[in-house]
Amino acid sequence: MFSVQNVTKRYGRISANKDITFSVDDGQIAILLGPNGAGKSTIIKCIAGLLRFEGEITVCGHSNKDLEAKRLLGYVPEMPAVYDLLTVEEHMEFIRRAYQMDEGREYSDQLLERMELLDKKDKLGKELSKGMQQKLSICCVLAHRPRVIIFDEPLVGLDPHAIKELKSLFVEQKNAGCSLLISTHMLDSVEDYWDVAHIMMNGQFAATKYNREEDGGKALEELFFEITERNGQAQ
Amino acid sequence: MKGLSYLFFTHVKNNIKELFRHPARLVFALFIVAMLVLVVLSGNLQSMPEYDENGVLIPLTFRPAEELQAMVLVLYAAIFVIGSYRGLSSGASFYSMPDVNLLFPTPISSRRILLYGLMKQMGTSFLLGFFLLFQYAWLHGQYNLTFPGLLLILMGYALVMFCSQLTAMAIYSFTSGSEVRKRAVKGVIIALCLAAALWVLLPLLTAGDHLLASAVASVNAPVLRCFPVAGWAAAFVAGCLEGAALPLGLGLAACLIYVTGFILLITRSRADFYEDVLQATEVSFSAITAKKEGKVTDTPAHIKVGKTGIGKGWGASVFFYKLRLENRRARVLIMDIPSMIFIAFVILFAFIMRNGGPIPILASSVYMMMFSIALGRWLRELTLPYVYMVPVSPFRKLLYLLLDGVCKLALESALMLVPAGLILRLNPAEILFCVLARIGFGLVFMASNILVERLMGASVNRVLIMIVYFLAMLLLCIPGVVLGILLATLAGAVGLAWAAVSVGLLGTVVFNLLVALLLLFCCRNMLNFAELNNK
Repeated sequence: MFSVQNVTKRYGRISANKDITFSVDDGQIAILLGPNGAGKSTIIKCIAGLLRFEGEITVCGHSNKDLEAKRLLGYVPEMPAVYDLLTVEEHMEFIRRAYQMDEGREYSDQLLERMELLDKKDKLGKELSKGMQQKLSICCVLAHRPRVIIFDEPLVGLDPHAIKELKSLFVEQKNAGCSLLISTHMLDSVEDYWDVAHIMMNGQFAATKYNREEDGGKALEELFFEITERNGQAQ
Repeated sequence: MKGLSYLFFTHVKNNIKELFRHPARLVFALFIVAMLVLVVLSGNLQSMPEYDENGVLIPLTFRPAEELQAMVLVLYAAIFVIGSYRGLSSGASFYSMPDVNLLFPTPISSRRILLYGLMKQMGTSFLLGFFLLFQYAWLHGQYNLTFPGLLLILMGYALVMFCSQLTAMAIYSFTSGSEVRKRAVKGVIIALCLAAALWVLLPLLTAGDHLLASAVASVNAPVLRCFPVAGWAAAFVAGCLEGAALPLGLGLAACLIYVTGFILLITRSRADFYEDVLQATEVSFSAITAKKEGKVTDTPAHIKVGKTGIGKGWGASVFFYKLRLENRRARVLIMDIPSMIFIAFVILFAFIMRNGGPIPILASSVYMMMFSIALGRWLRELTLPYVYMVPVSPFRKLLYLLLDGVCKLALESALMLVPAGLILRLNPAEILFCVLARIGFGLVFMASNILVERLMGASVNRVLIMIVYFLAMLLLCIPGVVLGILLATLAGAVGLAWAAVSVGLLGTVVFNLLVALLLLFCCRNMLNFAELNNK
């Protein structure tokens, strides 16, 4: 699990995130929704330890800057993080060595197979299309078996097969007890499996909705448009 | 034409407005102008009249102007050949992606759009040669070149650059889709270059001690003045500088006929040139986008993958072995292209200045390193999340990243300064200390980079970061240089004049090493507190 306590991120006088508090339990999938510029990517980068912030973020009880937290954390950025001059297979070898994993290449080959990259294992990063780079980026994160995984717009640029495969990976990771946070604009793509949804506006949480039958109420999409369009008119 | 002129002048107007909207850009522009003024003033100081102890004016001596003319021709030829050669792969483009997406589909005549592109390109070619102006100090000191003379060389440079773009476009148009034509044009370009190289190199075999004079005479011979565009532009510039009407007129006429001919060829024979510029526009657009995102892309178009697998490294050390693998794939021979150019330039400079002692050569090699260090592959690692997220001590990761830079620095310094030292007839100790001094300065520059990333990483303003980076490098270098001069002077005063250079360099090396280590220690947790917001 991971928790975010009173996190504020400022760029000069502008607050990209204002006093955000939430947590994601083991075996739970949380989604972050919001219009462009709402602050989703900023809070995600804060959790990943890539930005300085005020407040506290812990990953499985460790401060997110600790080495143990880094070992447990995986982050898939919005733009594919791929080295131009390494082959697909070398990316996976790099992750195994950097995270000091004793296991062989079976698991990483499995991931590549599922993302239809195994037959491209000798291709360089720069030779891959943007969609394939995104798939490789996802494989690199999953290869070190993180317990907390954060996805920033993971479905953008993926083909239908990869989207289907990634969705089933989300559910597998959840069933394996991992905590997942997924930022997305594609509401219909997350409809089936989310546990909690946070809708962000202007750097804050404007609403939080749980996917429980007893909660009833409005559908997620309806709630999203009601909040974002109301705020849009108010501005 | 209304739409095109509106677009052109609005671009110019908005660029000027942007300067005032973003003070950092204005400061940077003023900084560049101030540096230029400084270069011009320091250059002019070199030619101030000097008198001996009897009050008699010491006459100023300069190197032969033929050497300068030869250098101009070589520079122009390199620019023309490299630019034109691109026509075999991606072609050339005067346009940006918005031009392609918004302008090309409009009902404006394609010939007018070509004219608009040519006007834009003329401006760009002129700006690209701006770096030449910073060579004023040494060119004035060595060749008595005046500032208007340098502006003339810059004009010639812009003309050659412009013609190389036109040629690349024409080559692309002629060869796209036909391997036979591609091979034929490639053959012509290579044969032309080989013939020119043989023309210069063969006489050197029998030149004895007069290698430089022989090379200069060959380069300035009328036959090389016929080299397309580069030779004509060089003849025009040389004619202007010497007041010789014939080369001036012939050179200018040849260039004008070439430009007009190519424009007519493109517009008459192939009005539909959009396809020819599309790929080049896309290539340059991705390069610009990468630069805006703080990424430096120098990956060659055709990479020989070779043996696969990183093979070594565990935890932090895998970053070093990964960088080595990437370097192996990015280089051409034993080093990457920018390093090879720097090495060749320093050796050539040593050849020209072989009576000037080691300091000017070392200084020029260090000066160029200020720019090359900022292109280091280890710095690019900071633009991806892995180096921050891998669970290993941040200091260890930082050291292994730098190790790659240090290895490259040591190899580059040795390949550059050992031949230069032999040309200057330095003793082995002096050569060794020159190499070590360059490595020492390189370490300070690398540490300055890290310091600036640590202090300014949160800033999204790349221009401001660059200004602070150059200022930090200059300030951190000064103490080492002053210490070196003091120690060398002291060694001379106590009767160790024969070892003054070595003593001074050794002092600089030790001081720079200490500065670099101190900065590294202060920034040891940088990878834990970095800001990846602008990457």
